[in-house]
Amino acid sequence: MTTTTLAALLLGACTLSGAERYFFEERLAALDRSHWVATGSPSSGDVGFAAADVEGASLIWSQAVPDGTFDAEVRASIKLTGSGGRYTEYLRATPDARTGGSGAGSYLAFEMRNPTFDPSGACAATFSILQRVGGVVSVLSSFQHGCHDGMEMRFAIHGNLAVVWLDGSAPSEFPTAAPASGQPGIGAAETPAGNAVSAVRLGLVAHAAPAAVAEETVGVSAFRNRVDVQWVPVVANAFGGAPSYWIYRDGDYLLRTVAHQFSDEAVSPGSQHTYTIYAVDEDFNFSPGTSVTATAPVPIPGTNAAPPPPKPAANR
Amino acid sequence: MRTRAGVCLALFTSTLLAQRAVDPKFTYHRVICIVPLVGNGTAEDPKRPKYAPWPEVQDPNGIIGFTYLATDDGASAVVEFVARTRAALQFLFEDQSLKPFELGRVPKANIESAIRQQRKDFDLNRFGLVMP
Repeated sequence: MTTTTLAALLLGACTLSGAERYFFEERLAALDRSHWVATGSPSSGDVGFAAADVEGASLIWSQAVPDGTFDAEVRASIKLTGSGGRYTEYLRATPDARTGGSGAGSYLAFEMRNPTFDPSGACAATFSILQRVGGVVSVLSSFQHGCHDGMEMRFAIHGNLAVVWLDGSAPSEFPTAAPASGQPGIGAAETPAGNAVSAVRLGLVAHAAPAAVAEETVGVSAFRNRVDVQWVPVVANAFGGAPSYWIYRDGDYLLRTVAHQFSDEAVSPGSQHTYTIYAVDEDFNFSPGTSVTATAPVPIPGTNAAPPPPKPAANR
Repeated sequence: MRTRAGVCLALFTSTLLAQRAVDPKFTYHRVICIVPLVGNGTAEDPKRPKYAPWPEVQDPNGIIGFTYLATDDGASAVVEFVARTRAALQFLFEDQSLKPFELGRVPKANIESAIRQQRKDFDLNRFGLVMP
């Protein structure tokens, strides 16, 4: 083993054991352009990174992602004091990437478009996953969601799976045919005065699968019309954060939960179901599945099918 | 061990009942269908499924979300449209060129069988928009 290889391995080990997801953080009111390739006409004022014109502007990270992959996360805070503008996070982007105007470069992008405040102060916006490859722009997905001053947008790519979060919401995943390589970045266009990308963090994506749920910790209670399952949670990945759990029933997706228990109320007396539990970490690494089988009991003929009445509460 | 865990679980029944929530893949009304891809691929007119609202409109009574996969020939899209009301998706059922499937009303196997004629690896377990 060469010294260089050993050093690289040690660096990798330190990165993973250091439990530090974010390798770069910047408050954009004081933009240090030495880390970025800028396109368009970005402005960096008191509130952050903005671009007032329709062509917009972008900042694409100029260095390699520390783990040597092209998987990364962009986490941006958005200053919203009025309606309008577009606020973009880029992944696997070329240095000239830009969604504004007629667009440029190659990228996968997550964009908040046209946030609009109503007279009561409520804000709604469209959030879109955009891709530009070979000069062709595609809208891969889009959805409406609320918005607010200081909201946080997170966008990550792990292999061919893009993941987005808004504030503390559950993650939304999207299969993509994103460019194979490129850098993370941010962008803005048509931003009114007072609005901006105020801060950005760039992060790593973990690639190790979480441990499977231990079969011996799984508890099952089967009732005539309900099956309850609970288990001991698994540990977080190198970057922390409790995993969620995806549940399949008889091979079909049933639900996802951050709890370590669920109830299936779509069972009938006498039916048997196999539940498979996967731990899924924040980086969408899946553990091996852990399966349990439950059979809902059948009422005994001649007995009262209704459950017994509750006992009166004891006097205290 | 499993019996003991089951007894413990029964004690938490009230907790479980209090945590019923619709999975984010099954919220709202959802229709899956195959539609043509439209748009010339520019920033102003991007490639997207027919009926996908674009440029964006923030109409809470219309389609509030969509996601898609291209069919194997790349000409069409297997798309899921999401709306707050079924009425907002009614036009899909009135388009005689489409064969829409309403999630929760059509068996999974039927949807997969139909879609796999144009997207061989289609897996409903792995498809669908999680509304944040």
